[in-house]
Amino acid sequence: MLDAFERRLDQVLRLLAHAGGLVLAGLAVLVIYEICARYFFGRPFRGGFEMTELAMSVIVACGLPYTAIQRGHVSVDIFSKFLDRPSMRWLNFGIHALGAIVLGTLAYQSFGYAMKSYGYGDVSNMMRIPKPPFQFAVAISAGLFTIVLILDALKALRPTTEIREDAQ
Amino acid sequence: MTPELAGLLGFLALFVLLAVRMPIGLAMMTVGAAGIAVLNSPNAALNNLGSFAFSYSAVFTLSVIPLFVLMGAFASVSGMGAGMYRTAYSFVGHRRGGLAAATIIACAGFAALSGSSIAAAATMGKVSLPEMDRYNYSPRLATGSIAAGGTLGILIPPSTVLIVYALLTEQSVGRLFLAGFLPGLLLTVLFVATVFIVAIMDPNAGPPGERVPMGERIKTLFGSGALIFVVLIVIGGIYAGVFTVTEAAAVGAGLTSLHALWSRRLTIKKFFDALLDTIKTTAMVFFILIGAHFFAPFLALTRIPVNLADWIGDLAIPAIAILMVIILVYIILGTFMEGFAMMVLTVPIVLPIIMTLGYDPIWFGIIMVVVLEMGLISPPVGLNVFVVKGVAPKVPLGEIFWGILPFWLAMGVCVTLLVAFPEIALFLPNTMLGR
Repeated sequence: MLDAFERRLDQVLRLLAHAGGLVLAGLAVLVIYEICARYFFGRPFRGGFEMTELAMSVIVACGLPYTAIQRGHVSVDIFSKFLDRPSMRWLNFGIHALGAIVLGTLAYQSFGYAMKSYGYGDVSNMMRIPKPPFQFAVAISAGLFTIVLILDALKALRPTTEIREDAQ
Repeated sequence: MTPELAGLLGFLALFVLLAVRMPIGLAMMTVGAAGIAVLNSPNAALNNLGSFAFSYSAVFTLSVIPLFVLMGAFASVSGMGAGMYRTAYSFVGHRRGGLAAATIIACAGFAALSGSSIAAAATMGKVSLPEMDRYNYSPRLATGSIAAGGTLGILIPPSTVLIVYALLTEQSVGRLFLAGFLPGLLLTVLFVATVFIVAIMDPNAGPPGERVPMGERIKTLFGSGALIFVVLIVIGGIYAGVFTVTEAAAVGAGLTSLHALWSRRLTIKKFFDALLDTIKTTAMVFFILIGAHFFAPFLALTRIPVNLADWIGDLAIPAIAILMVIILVYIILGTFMEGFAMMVLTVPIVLPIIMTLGYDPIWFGIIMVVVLEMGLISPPVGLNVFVVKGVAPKVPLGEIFWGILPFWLAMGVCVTLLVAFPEIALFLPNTMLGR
C-alpha cells in the first residue's frame, strides 16, 4: 500500500515539478522580453524584478517535494552500508521522523505567516501583486515534503525492505 | 549555556545528523533552528521557520541559478558538446593521447555554457567514450580524462558554485566569473599536459587517432560556431555591460533552446526532461541555501567565527601556513562531502579567517572551487566518478579512481600555482573592473 501511495505521489509531484519548469521557461521569456523592451522598444518593463522574485518562490516550491521523493537532496552517504542494515531501521525511522517534525513545523509556521500576510493584504511594492498565494505555495510545498519524509520513515520500519540509496 | 558551548554542541549535532544521512539542508535547518531557540528564543526560531522558506527563495539575484542550469540543460540536448568534441578531435586527435586531450578541451568549451560539472562529464562521456573505446584507449585514461574534464564546468564561467559563493560572501558575480577564467584555462592546459605525459609514459594508454586534413578541421571549427556564438553573447554581454548576469543567463537559455530546436534535437519529451532536470538541481541548491540561512544566524549568535578569526589573527604563525591548513582540511572534507554543501557550511567560518589574514575573498573563492573540484573526483564519494561509471558501466570503479589520480595531482599543481601567483585569478577582474 505504501508503495502504491508513493508511486501516485511521485506522479503528482512530477506534474508539480513540470509546472515549475514551465514557470521557469516563462521567466526566461519574461527576462528576454525585458531586454527587448529596454533596447528595442525604448520602454523598460518595470515589473520584471518583482515578477522574477515571486516566480522564483513558485519554482522552488514546485521543485522541493519532487526532488525529495526522487532522493535528490544532497546527503552524506559514506556510512550507507552500515545504515542500510536491518538492525538500523529504527535509527533511519528516527532521522526521517525528526526531519518530518522540523519540516512539518516549517509548513505550519509558513502557513501561519501566509495567513497573516493575507490578513493585512501584503502586496509587492510596484505592481501590487498579492504575495499570499506565493507564500501559501511555499507552505504547501513544505507540507508535501513532510509527507515524503513521513513516507520514508514508515518505509524505513519495514523489516524486509532495503532502503534506497540517496541519489547524491 | 555559553554561546560558544552551544555552538560546539551545534556542530557536533550537525555532524551526527549528516553522518546518519539527513539531507544537508534539513540538517542545517534543524540545528540552526534549535540553536536559535536556545540562544535567542523559541519564538524567534518559530518566526524564522515561518518566514525563511519564502524569503530566501523569492530572491531576484538567485534567479540566475536556474536560468544558467537551464542553459546548460538545453546545451546538452542541442549537441553543442558533440560539435565541440569533433572540433577538438580534428585538431589534436592524431597525437598520442589526443582523444583524451580532445575530451578535456571539449569539456572546457562546454563548461563555458554549463555551470555544472555533472552535466559536462555526462555529456562529454557519452560522446567521447565510444571514440576512445574504438581506438583501444586504456579505460583508466579514458574515464579519468572525462571525470577530470567535467570538473572544469564549475570553474570556467558561468559556474553555479561561483554564483552561490558570490551570494554567501557578498562578492560580485561578474568579478568571480572573470577571476575563474584564467585558472580555468590553466587547469585545462595542466589536464592536457597530464594526458600527454600519461600517453608518453605508457604508449598503449592512448594510441593516436586519424589525422584530419586542415580543410576538414576548419569545417569542424565552423561546426562549433553556435557554441562559440552563445558563449560570446552571454559572457561578452555581461562584460560589455549589455546584460546583467541574470539577463545573460536567460538569453543563453533562449539561444541554446533555439539551437536545440533548429538542430531538431529538441522534442517535447526532451524539453520537459530538461525542465525537470533543471528544477531538480534548482530545488537541491535552494534547499541547501535555505538551510544555510538557518545555520548562519545561529553561528553568528555563537560568535565562534569572529572569535576564531581573532584568535587565528593573533597567532604567531605565518598566514601562508594557516592557509595551507585550511586548504588541506578542504581537500580532506571534499573526499566525503558534497562540494556544494561543504562550501555553504564552511564559508561563514572560514571567510572571516581569510579576511583577517589579509587574503582576497575573490581569489580564495577560486582556490576553493579548484579544491571542490578535487573532491568531485576523490574517493569514496566523488560525484563525477559515479557519473562516468554510469556512462562506462564495464570499467571497475577502482580503475576509474586510478585513472583520475594524475589529474588530481594536476589540480594540486593548479592550487599551488594559484597560491604562489594570486594574479592568475585576480589579473582579469582587477584589470577589467578595477580594484
